[in-house]
Amino acid sequence: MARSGKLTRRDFLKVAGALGGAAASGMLPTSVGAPLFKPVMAAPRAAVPGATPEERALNGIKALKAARRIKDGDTFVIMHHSGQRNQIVPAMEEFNKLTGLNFKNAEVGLEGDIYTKAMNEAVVRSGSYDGFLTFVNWIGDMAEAGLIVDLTDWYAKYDPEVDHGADAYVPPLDKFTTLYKGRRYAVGADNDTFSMFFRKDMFNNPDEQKRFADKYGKKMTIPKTWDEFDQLVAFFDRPDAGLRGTHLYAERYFAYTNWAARFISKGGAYFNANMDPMIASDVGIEALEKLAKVVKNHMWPDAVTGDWSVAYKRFPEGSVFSAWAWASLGKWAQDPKTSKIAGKVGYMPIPGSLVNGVLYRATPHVVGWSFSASRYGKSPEATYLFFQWFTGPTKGAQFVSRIGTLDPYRKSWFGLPGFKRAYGAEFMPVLLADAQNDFADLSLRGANEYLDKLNVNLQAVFAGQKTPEQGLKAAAVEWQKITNRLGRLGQIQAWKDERKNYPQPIQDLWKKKYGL
Amino acid sequence: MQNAVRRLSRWINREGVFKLALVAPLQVTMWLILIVPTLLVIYLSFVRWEPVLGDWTRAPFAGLANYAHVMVDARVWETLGRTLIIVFFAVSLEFLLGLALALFSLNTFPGKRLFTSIILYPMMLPWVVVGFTFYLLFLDKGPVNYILIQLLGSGGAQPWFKEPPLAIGTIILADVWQWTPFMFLILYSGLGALPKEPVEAAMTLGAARWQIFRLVTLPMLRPVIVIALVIRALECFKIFDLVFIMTGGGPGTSTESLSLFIYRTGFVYGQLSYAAALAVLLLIAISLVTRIAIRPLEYREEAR
Amino acid sequence: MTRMVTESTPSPVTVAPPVPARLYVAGALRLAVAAGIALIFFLPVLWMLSISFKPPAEWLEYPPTLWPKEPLAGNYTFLFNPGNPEGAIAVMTGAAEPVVPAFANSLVVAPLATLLSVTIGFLAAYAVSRFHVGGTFMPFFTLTTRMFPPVAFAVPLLLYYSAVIPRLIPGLRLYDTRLGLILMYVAFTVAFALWMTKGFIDAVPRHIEEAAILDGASRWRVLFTVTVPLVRGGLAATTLFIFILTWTEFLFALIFTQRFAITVPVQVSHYAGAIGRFYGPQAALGILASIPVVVTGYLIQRHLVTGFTFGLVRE
Repeated sequence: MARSGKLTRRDFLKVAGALGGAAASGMLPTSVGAPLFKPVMAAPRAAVPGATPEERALNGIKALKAARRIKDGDTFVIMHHSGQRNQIVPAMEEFNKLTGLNFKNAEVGLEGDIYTKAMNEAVVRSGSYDGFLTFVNWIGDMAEAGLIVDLTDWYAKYDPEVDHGADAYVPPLDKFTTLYKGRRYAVGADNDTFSMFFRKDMFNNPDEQKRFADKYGKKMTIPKTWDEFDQLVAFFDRPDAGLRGTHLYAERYFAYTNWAARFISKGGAYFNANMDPMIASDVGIEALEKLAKVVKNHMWPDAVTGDWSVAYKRFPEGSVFSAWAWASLGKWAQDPKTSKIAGKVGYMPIPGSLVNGVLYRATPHVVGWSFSASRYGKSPEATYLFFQWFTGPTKGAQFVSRIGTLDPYRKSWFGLPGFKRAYGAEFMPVLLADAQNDFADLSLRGANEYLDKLNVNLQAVFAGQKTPEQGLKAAAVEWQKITNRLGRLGQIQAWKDERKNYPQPIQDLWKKKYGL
Repeated sequence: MQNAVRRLSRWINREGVFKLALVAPLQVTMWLILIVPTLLVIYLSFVRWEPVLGDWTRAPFAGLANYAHVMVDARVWETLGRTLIIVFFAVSLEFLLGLALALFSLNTFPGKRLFTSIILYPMMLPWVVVGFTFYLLFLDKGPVNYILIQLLGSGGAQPWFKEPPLAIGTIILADVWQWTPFMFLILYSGLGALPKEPVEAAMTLGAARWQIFRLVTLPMLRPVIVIALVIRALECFKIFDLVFIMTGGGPGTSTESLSLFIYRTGFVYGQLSYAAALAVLLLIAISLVTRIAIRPLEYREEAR
Repeated sequence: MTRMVTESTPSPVTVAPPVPARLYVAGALRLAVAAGIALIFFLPVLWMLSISFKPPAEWLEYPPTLWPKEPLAGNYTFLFNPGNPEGAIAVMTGAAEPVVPAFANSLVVAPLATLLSVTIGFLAAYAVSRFHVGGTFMPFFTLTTRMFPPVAFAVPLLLYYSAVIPRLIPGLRLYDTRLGLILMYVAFTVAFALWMTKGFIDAVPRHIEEAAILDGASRWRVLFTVTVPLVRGGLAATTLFIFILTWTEFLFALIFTQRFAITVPVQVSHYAGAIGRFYGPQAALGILASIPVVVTGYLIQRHLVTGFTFGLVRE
């Protein structure tokens, strides 16, 4: 992008500077949203030919080349996590051959460093990155920092078939991996729905079933609610035999996952309409008390102090009856090369909670990766087209099936034999069902800080340093400080939009309970 | 021509030019690279800015607000106290062990080169590697607990990373393991550079070994000791990688070091202004303490 | 009075016992103690070595075994083979990124930065020690660069490199370049070089230099032919230490590199995958990464031990 791009950028910086100042004083966060978040280039309204998203992406590249906006050999740098190397690098090689462009990858080893480098780029605006593959819930911060461009017009122009058609993303992934404040800022590329795995050999064992029936006076069934789950876990907790009931995340960075699942399924919401935290409500405290009991009594201690990969050790070695994590744990546990329990893995839908006699399920979608295009890159439009091509129905399946941290996200892929083989045929329908009850991590501006302060307090509770009530109240106090600092009005609007990304039953429940 | 060269060499050897030439590279380097960023840090500490709020050049002036926030934040004081405890124990242990090793190494024995190489090895490893090695060693189901269970029975295993005092202990242990070689290195080369006459004089006067060490050697070694302690303490105060890799600051925030806290505040929470103010305050505080600490050094110099 | 003197003993400050028999016992005891100390120091390294030869399944195995049940060299070869991992390592996600470019970068950046830093620092230290240039303030001021936690400097320095310098000197790229890293490392370590060498210079009595000057030697000549040999030990120690600092530095290397100037510590962090950290390759790379430093340390040992003896040691 030659001269015209530079001119626009300088103009933009002037505008951004003036608006940034106003935004920084917290005075007009919402109205800043309108002019600041328009795409840099006005996109023509003509639809682009092509029967599939991949075709349209390639045709779009051709059109951009013809319009002299990009040329052969232009280098585009995408920053991503090392875990996706095996999926992204071959994709780039293929795309480069097809288009004559030169897409290159820039790897980062620690996930948190991706956020650091992206936000540094927001400040420095060096143009050294054209695109990012980041956690879904960082999109808010990156958008508010002015780093990434609004993709909504290009969604309309090129149609990546994200939320419609036979190959659509699993809803509600199409929403929360792409939307911020109601506009498209990202292209989702992953599915990080949590799944609950358990030892079906133990579960199906008739002796165990009899013992359970004798002890609790009812048949041992797949738990529907968290209370039933806790009971099952207690039953299978046998420390003397080297078997603990479960492994749920209670460590420094993911302590919130199980609490959030229980809390949301009970109808809890992070904030009310005025952005006051509701985490320390009775619902929240009750959920945490029950979970803390499970952590204390039925889990190995390193669930609290280890890192997230401990689950990938405990469950496949057979020292816990159940564990939950990303879908990759299923892959790991099914593979005889890495697991001692291959063939014994069962899959249960994530339990929910009964509210007024109705069962509500809420599955945490934890982190997850999505692409975004840098405002300061060579050609955000071309970068976006790579994303559309990479996540297309055919190409996407091809690359996601390679070993890597990206998991399948389009509904039609769940029936493909390749995925069934890799993950287990029984698993795919369960994963699909769970995905439809997904709720995403908090994605507002300041999300990192909200979640970190919550995690710190939750882990302290699990380590026995605070009571559940103390922990949640302390987190709530911190949350209010953050909201005030970032500008309550803007956060209220963002939270309003974010609530629309939650499963519909939960939204209805909120309307009834809190008028949200 | 000869005259010009001679005049040039005389000029170069003039004391003024000599002194200037000696310090010029240092000044150029520091001012070129560091002055602008330092000014920027100070600027950031006086405005209210986060990347998610907009442009840093148009950030609103905040006066001393950031500084006030830092002073009243309990987490800052807790973290400061905790970091000071870590520094005190780690540096003391490193000094004592380093000195003992240095004295031990003065006399020769077979395989001494190998011995020295092994002792120096820990500080040659990348910090991340040291961090995760100790993390793996002290896992609940790791080698250390395994050995403890063999020795003391099933009660021997400790929840190393769950109890804050134990977690801080493992961090101190990792730091001591990694940096005792540094103390050893400095003290050893310092001992080796001391003049022999005072020691020989004391020996001819019939002083005992321990007396010689305490009254002759140690005082002569003082400049090196002070430097070693100051440098090591300054570095240890900024401990980051070990804490980050081994505990992430957890459980909760009970092992968070000051550097980790600044990192989290600045890079994870995005509060760069707050972090800048904290850094400036730290700079002032540490400067005052260091000033006092190196006074024996200056005093010593003048006595010469 | 007899003294135990060999080619590798600096001026002893303790006196060895004169009786041969006790000497023998003392020597053996010393050796035993040395072996014990070395073993304790070496234990974590043993564990690292052990991990580096283990397949993924054994990294977190309990009960832990020192000797791998299925030893393999894959963790090491993985580092040098681009493309998909083979064999037991294949279960790890993510293809290998060859480490040789990172080593090349580090082998350029660290030695150059170290040499520059030590030279600049030593010269300034001499001026401070002998002439009190800058009084007490200037040397102290340089020490302040070590008092700032580096994280606080990172963003401003990044702004400086990426936004300010390109405007002042168009065409000078410092971000993601070896030059940029070298300049930064020199600026941040030169305070160390100054203070460490100053300590050693202070310990050398002035009268030796003054005698040489009275004999007619120029100041520069005195500096290089009289002082430097006397503080050789200190210079060696300082060089080794600053080499270690620059070789193992992570935070700035992470922030200021992108694709071209990646150094070894950043490379180590890349060996992460979907299933936690790749402990095996990270341990292997850690061991490999320490080799240049070990070599440097070994070479420097000669200078460390002979040090300053005024030529009075009977050999």
